[in-house]
Amino acid sequence: MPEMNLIEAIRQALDEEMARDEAVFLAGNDIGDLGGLFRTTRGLQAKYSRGRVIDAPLSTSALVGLCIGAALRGKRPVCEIQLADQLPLAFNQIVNEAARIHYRTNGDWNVPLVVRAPYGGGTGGGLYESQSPEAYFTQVPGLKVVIPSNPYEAKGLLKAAVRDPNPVLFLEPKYGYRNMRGEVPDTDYTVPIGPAVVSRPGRDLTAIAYGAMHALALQAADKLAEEAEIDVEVIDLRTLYPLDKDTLLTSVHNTSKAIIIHEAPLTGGFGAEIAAILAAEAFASLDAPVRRLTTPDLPAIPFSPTLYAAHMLTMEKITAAMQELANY
Amino acid sequence: MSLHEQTKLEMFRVMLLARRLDERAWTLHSEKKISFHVSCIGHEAAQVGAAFALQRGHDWAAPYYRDLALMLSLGYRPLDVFLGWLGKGSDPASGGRQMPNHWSSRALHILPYSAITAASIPHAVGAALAAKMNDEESVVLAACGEGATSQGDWYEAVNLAAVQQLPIVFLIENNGYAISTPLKRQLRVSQVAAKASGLGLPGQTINGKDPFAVLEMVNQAVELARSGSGPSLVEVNVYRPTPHSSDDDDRLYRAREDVLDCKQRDPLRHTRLLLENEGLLTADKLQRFEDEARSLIEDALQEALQAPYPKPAEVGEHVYA
Amino acid sequence: MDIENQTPNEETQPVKTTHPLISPVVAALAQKNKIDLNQITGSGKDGRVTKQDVLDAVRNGTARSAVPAASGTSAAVCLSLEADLNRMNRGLKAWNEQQFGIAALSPIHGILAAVLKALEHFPQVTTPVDEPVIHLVCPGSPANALPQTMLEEPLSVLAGRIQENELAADFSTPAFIIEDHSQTGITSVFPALPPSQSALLAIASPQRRPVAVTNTMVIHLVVTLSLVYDPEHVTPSYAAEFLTFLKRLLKEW
Repeated sequence: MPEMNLIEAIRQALDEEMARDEAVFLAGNDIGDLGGLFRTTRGLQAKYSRGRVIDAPLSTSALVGLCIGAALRGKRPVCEIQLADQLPLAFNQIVNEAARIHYRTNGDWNVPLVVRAPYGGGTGGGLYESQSPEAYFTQVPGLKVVIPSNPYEAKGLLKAAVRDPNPVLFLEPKYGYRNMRGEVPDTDYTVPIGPAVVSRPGRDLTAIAYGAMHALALQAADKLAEEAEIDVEVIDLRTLYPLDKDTLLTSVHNTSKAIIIHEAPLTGGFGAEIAAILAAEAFASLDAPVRRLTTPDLPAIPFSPTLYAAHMLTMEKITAAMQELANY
Repeated sequence: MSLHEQTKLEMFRVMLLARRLDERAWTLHSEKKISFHVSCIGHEAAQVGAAFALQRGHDWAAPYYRDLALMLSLGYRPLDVFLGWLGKGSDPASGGRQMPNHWSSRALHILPYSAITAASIPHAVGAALAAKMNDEESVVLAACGEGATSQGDWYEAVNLAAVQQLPIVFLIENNGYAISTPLKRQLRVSQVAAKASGLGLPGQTINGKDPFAVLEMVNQAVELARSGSGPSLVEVNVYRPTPHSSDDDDRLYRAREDVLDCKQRDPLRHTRLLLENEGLLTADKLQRFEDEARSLIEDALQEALQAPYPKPAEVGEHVYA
Repeated sequence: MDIENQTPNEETQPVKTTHPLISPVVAALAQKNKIDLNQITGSGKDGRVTKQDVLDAVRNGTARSAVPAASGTSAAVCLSLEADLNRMNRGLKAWNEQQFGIAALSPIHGILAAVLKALEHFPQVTTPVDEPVIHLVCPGSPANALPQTMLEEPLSVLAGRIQENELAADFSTPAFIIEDHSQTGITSVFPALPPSQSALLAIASPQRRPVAVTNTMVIHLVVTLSLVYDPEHVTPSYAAEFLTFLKRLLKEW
């Protein structure tokens, strides 16, 4: 089975979907000749056409709106926003329009749209090229929010997103673009949107993560198993919204301890929702307060290396937090 | 180009129906039978003229909340309108979820309107993109008031359409007010059409009292779009004799002389006179139109009043497709 | 945080060490398995008793019983009272008339159902064991053990199972013993409490005899119920409340 990084897996998913269905097209900034800011679409315009890999002007809101309109007409647009930090420019189109159209037309219309955006730190992008804005979008019924945690999932989830009749916000952990490698089948497979997965079974505590932090959580779990005989169960959320509560509750029922790890700030972050669910629905199973390990409540990830290090989560910080929870 | 007499009469009939329906809304509102109304009075010639440039069932439209006459021209029935005004379960636009006049109909090729001004303009451009991709020679008519043309989405979308040379016509129904804000505090240029040249598409302005002149101008724009020559902008100067909506009080921002002036420029009266002068509209025919409109409206109203509200259990339906 | 410094004016006494925090799962497990958390040395943060600590105690059989198991050495105490079965008896008769092909219920079945209901509300008269069972002892006949699940079964099913002798007879880990003297003609019994039991309920033979109802003497079916209990494990007031509750259940059937 070929091994590839996240970029290659995403590109293969887009390529396969465009080949499979003529209704699929890509639109974004610099996605044609350049192949996108991170080269995820490299070669696709040459392979297909300028008409199906559309270089749009820097009109983030209208770009998403354009794709909504095409989706209403039965197209399957995949829209690339260069950085998730720019998603607020298209917030109204994603939240008020794409996510609400099916509901507000009583089911008459639907919007099969994928909005892709790289998110998160790890590439020295500073305040406006490092943000993790997922929680802005996890309070939007009608929208699905998907974050892959490895190349295999990236390909399968993206293909599922393209085929989904609903709008899907597909956030790609750009730290993993080149750092995440893994086996990705050449075959036409999908990873279903919705279910979370236990990526590492364990007894002592449940670590809930997604995207780049999931990879770090797995490393931390392995380290604790080896060095401290602490057996961490790791859950890879894959889909943040709608959330697969059952997998979380089953795990926490068994382990009785939970830690949620994300790159976005603490207050009002997605971890708050999970913590609230666990408090409400797993209360009798809890043996420790639900722990959230996140970046601090600061505006965004700073550029300078010292400030970055002070801000960002690391495998070491995650390991320490897991160990503290295990010993509670 | 000379319009067929039957078409002219049909356009007048729809304008009259729209006017009587709109007036009925105001009386229903004063009787507290409907909770909200936003009026098309004064816009009828612009809307009917533009709508008649489309091929119904083939072309597409992205109307905005004031487009009652446009909707009637495209096949929406008075019953459909009442069902929406009353928030009934069989409201074809939204099943009673949206406020009145937030149009949508997949069957009639009406794109769903939200309420956020100009947010549907990019959708119209996207629908035009799909039409171009499908090579289907269909055209999209994207309507909005002049107020929406100050939104970023409007500029972005019109620019995108121009860059991509998409088959779309932007119809601007310029009634001089964005709720209370007069034109001079919205634009530095004297007309919205002047914005078009900066974005690279043809833009023209026309007076909105003659539906046949509007039809002719929008027809030209539609044919440009259909033939692959890209988008155009048509601005129709209209007058709004009513407040912005039933919740508005235009005495706070508008001189009464202005309202009287609007009433003087009534497109319905103007069209009636045109047709009478041409000898097309006799007193008998006019009376028949009036009678037909009245019975159509009253029958539809009774049916809509009898129609059930959506069931409470349906509140959770259609979140995801 | 130092408790002594917070209350400097109070005479300080050696405070029994308490666990800093009992988590929801620890509380639930301790209650379910009748584990005394005070007997466990916590392995968690600041000596907290963890879920694993409780599970270990359950597995090892240590720290048993918030109500400790009876030693059998202390003196047993007996409380007796008389319960009016008239309403119950009428109810059973009506029930019997509606049933076809099933053996009729006698007063003992109704009393048993009421006892099982009362045990739900007064669990501490039972003896803590891993899988509680109720033993029905009829002098001169084999013993019947009622699984705990009986508590949830409707009267008809319970009665049917008692009559068809389908109940297991396992005396190894009794949780509560009911002595049935209803067929013996004995009107008052004071049985011995077997070792390791917290309490035992004896049911005498129901008798028809005069009772006063709103200043009028009427003939009712009555029975004497006796609770023998170990006062080290069941307080007198708790025992009395149990019996009173049982009497009310029977009377208000």
